[in-house]
Amino acid sequence: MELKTVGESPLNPSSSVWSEVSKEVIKLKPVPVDAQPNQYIRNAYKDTPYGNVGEVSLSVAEHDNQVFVRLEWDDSNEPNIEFQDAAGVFFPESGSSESPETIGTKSNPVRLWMWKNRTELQSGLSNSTDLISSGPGVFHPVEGSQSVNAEASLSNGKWSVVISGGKNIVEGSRKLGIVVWDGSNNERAGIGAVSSNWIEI
Amino acid sequence: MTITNETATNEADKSSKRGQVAMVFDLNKCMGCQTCSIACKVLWTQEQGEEHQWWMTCNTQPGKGTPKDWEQMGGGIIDGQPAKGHQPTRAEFGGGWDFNYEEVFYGGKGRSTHLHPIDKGDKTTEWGMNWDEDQGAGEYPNSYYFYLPRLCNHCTNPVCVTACPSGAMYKRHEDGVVLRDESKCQGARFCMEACPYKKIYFNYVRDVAQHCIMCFPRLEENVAPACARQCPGRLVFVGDPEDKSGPIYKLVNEWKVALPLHPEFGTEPNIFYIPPMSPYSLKEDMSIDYETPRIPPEYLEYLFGPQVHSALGKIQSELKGVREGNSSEILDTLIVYNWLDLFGKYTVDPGTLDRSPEKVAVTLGATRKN
Amino acid sequence: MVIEYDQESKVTGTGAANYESRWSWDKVGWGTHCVDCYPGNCPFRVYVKDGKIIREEPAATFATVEEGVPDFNPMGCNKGACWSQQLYDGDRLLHPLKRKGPRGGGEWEQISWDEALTLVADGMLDAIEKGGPESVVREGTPEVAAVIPTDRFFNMFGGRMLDLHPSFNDFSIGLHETFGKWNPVSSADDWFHSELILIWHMNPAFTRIPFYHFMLEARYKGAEVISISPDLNASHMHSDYHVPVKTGADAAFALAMVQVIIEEGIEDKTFVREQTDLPCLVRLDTQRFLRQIDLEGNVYSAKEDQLYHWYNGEPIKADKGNLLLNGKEVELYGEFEVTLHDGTKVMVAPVMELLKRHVNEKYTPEMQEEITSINPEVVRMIARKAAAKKTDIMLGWNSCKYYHGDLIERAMCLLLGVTGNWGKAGTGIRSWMIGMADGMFSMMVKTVPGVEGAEQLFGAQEMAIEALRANDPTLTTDELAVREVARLLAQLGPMGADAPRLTGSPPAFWWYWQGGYKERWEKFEWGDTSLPRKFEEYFDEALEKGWWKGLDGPRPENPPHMLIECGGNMLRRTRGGFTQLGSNLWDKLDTIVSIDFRLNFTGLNSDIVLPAAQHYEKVNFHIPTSHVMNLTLSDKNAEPAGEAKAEWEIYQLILKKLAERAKERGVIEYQNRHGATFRPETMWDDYTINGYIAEEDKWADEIIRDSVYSGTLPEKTDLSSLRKDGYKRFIGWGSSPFALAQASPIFPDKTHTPFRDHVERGAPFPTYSRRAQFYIDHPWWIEANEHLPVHKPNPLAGGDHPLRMTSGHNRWSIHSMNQANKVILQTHRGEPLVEISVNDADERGVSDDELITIFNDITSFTARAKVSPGVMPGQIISYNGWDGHQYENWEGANEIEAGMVKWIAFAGGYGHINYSLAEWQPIPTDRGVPCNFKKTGK
Repeated sequence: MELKTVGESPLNPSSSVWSEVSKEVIKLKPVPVDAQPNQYIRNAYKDTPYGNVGEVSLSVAEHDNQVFVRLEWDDSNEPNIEFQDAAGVFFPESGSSESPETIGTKSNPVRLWMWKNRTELQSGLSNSTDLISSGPGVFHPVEGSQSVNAEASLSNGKWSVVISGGKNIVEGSRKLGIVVWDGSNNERAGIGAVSSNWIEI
Repeated sequence: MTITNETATNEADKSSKRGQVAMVFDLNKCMGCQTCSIACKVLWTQEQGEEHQWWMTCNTQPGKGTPKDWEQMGGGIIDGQPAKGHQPTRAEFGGGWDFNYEEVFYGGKGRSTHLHPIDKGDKTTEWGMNWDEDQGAGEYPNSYYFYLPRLCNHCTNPVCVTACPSGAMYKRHEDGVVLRDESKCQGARFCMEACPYKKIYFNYVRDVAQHCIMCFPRLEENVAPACARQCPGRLVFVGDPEDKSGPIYKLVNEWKVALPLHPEFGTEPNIFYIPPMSPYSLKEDMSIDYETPRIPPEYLEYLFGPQVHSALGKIQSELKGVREGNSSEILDTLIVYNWLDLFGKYTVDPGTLDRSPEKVAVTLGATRKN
Repeated sequence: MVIEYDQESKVTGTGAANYESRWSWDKVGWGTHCVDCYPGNCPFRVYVKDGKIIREEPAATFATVEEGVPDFNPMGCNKGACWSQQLYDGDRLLHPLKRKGPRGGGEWEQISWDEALTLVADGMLDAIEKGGPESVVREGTPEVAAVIPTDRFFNMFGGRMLDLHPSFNDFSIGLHETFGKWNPVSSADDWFHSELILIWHMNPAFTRIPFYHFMLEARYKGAEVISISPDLNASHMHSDYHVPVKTGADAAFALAMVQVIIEEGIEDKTFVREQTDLPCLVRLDTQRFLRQIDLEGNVYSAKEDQLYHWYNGEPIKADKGNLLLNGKEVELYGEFEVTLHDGTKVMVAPVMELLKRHVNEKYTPEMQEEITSINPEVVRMIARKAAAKKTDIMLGWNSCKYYHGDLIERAMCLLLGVTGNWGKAGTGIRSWMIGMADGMFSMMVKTVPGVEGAEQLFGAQEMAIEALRANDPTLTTDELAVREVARLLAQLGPMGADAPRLTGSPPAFWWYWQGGYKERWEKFEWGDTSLPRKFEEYFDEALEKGWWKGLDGPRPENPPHMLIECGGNMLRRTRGGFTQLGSNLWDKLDTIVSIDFRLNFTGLNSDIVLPAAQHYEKVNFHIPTSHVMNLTLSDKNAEPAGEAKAEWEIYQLILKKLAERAKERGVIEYQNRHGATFRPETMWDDYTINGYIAEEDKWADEIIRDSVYSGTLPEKTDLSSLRKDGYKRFIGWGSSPFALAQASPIFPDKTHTPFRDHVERGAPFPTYSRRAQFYIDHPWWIEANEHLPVHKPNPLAGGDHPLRMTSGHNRWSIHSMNQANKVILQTHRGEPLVEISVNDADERGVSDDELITIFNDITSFTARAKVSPGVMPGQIISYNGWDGHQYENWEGANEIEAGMVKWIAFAGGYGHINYSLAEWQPIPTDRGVPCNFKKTGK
């Protein structure tokens, strides 16, 4: 996909800038249960369906040394007070040949920019985090990082989310993976839907 | 087999044997007063997102307890494998209510309103941490109930730790306290699913899980945990379960009168209970029935496993003994003539400590990452 | 299986710092909970951070008192553990408030202290002009920090003070009828010495949380515990037997045990002969005691109250000055002939003989079964145990709230009497007491500072005692003499030579004349329908005979105009509640002032609300009691929240404002009904002894020093030494009748057992007969057939309904205190509930947590149903303490309580059956209320 440079910050998913950027539909699959990071999760989720979001519409753009990733998917499920809808975009280190479907591995961690829908109670929390992921749900915050931002809107049963971060992260491998969690299905951590192939940009 | 926390981020120096702190609760002294719960609440869970959190609770048995029907929620280690569990929901915990003080006292509404928990539409007013207090079971006059105080079991096999994908949870090497590094916790709540005792809470404001920390700041100053030290019933022993001269070793290992709750959950708790006696039953003609125990033995077995019969039998025969004039080391231990004998090495009076926020901050800076 | 997961040994991450800093503080001080939490006295440490009180924890610094007996640590409870959380809760009062709109409308204007004080002072002056100072009234409260400043304040301006005891209904009337005092109170650790503990009309798992362990420790030492209660209350589980006596049937159960003991000859005969009136002779022709005047005629030397034993074939005088018989076996059984002074021959028999006939005729175990439902063999088993073991009756104030509670308690005492179970470690029965900190009493009236002032007060009492003894040498103990002084003072009442400045009265008359209770109490079918006469006939007779002379106000022609409620919550606690007081009393009052740290139900229905300091924000003490034996300090740990002030300061401000407003209104002085003159200009000077005790610390220090003077605290005890240790153990009883009632030495290294002096030294009881008195031959008792303890059914006060509502203290609050505490509210269902049985719920199609309406002929109230298998079918339990505004339409359980008083309590003129402060008087009752329930809305 082309990483198009745009004239103004397109962090707002409704920004008119996005109409200038091409979209691509990306298929998602459940994160493989065998790849789950511990025996508990492997046991508990082997017969539990998850990875509800089958596809997302992806656009990417660049402005002022920041990369903006826009994701859009259908979600008409009743929100769950326990778990919130969330999405992430992640970038491998250059030279990694591993599949994106585990969101990184111990030996080849990925950088994960994550957006999480916040409830009224969580108004004090940021909706975005900059993480190192070395496996499904094996997420560790990048200490002190404030470079990831996100904005999201839900209308007509459709989430539109823009996640942004520093271009330097993208520049190494120039490819990304996508992960989406359907909160109404108690999805979080490694329990979610992930792109099975890297998307070159 | 070995289950490891496959995603742990720091390894302990394992050259020394791991320590453990344990507790024994004597249910024959517990009056269900909730002082333990409140002592914990006031000290640890008074901030936003912690309103419904009661790391220490005491419930009436038989009952649904907290969270509602927790015993049916799965988790634990069954046949050597971590078993699927249900993550208790906010509604299942209930509680954490706000009240309409302002409306009643100053709202100008007079008798048309009254003080009550505010129903926010999330069903949290339909259950609470002690909702089925004093109800119990059985048929009058042979109904029965007793109290069961519960906190994190700081298990020897803490399945919660192994279930954590982000490596936030660990069992502290020096005393076996199970803790969570909240800066690493991603709010995934597999710990809550895996814990068979359902003693982990979720902070919906901070997006992290929380549970009993065994008052580790107090333990480090040799002060007993708040629940134990404030217990007016003097029924909570705290200490090293391997200290053969200590009461916990004797009660658990030597006399075998203290048992873990639901041993079949497989996590090897470090909280033990002296099982409860009950008054004799009554026959139809209201005479005493010395044969039929009021609390069904099968219920006690359900809670404490098959060992409960011998443990209870032992307490009862010791009691019979002292009534016949014998002495009993077990009962003398349970009497606890000197209150401080409950607490092993944790006997420091907290009122004598300097814990100014400045000093605490300096201490933290010197010894701990923040 | 092995699980590996250890990590580095120190806690890391934000969690660590977060939790470390939560357990930190700037300052630690002393605190306790100075309300009517009894016995209370738990020394707590109060933790302060950034000038705010953040939490508390029991100090737990007690040393062992008696070797081999567990210590008192830690002493605390659920309420104490979150007392601090009320400081900044939603009902905390931070500013003076003035009502806008109708009373109880919930609309307030925040006003300045100056405005508030002006309103209070003007309210007082208006009332004084209209109806004299007596028209300003207060009900009693046991909150020390409120009651001492309030009493002293009322003394200054001549207001009417109502006796505190009936306000909270904790007068153990049957104990008083038996012992001439209602308050034997062992130290809690004395329970450890018991061999048989009968938990009876008490639920210590709720109400004795800090001390409950002593009972269970006694059990582990071999004591047997028996729980006697219709429902399986929370104390049942630690008992060996649960005995579900039907509601209010306890007297029959106790009397049947007495029957077994007498029949089997296992009574403690020596004890019975010395301690009780059971060997005293009764004339069979009159049913009255054989008296000296019977034998010697109505001559000066013949005492009306000199009774007789039968010994060696003749009547001998029962010694009034000493109970010991030194082995003399006076007769307990039999019938004897005596010759009266006029030559008439009559038959007499010891009370014990009459008792034997009485219980054989009416209370064999088989007969009691019909009344109580208890199997006769259970009665025999427990009776035999009581006769053989050191037996302790764990009694609360539940029995005394039954209409016939006196009969229940007399029967309990009788069981102890025939089995020799008082005055020995681990035995007895209990009520409550306040005493020993005599400085608290002196502070209510002291006019001269320091030791000189103490000398004046305590010296006056000494002189009175000497004068009485000169007249009656049988007043052999301080207790007897002090009680005699108290009764004489009460009889002098407000007409006494030095007392015309004070107006005090038992509140029965306040309720009767002003609260609309006349109509209720006179409902014959709501009282004891076996009586030959109506309530009003007894009432009129009592007044005619002068038994309540000078005490029977405020009469209809002297209505009250102003009410000051400080530290109490009368609308919540009064039986009959708002239905009665709201429609009768409230409209008579021009000004209602509530002084409290929180907005309670009474405050919510007041005109002016003054915010008081909470217990951790002022210097005060807990009710001193021999249950605990310590004076316990609660210190000022932080400035009061908002604009709140300690009561001691509030009353000074009111008096200053009163002087100012009186001057402006041209009131230089005024008189009360007895002609005493009051001058507002000097009231503050008098209140503070010319400023000597104006400061809070000085006031508290003076209380302690006066207590040292009276010998109850060690030399050199003062406020600063108390601040060091938080509490101080008492060393002496001092001079109050409540303390001297213990009739035992205080040993520094022994548990406290009351009544040792009676048993060991033969000290007489302060009763008519000078003995534990089971036979009361006052004409009213004989007329009602209650001269010996009997069982009588609970009257149908509220109509003929199938269920009986019982009550008691809940686990969650001290009365209404903490009932709105947000932490505590989370530990139950957060709303008023009643416990009902499974059967009654099923019959009415009610399931758990449904709203039900509980009703009788009086009115109804709504609460959530808690369906509990442990509730006796036919019983509804409504634990009290819920505040009015927690119920729908502000109608709580007390609305369906009739608040009947037993006619007999208006009796007088018979030894201990005479009023004195906080003693014999009518008390409203509220247990066993006939009612029914249905699903709300149906």
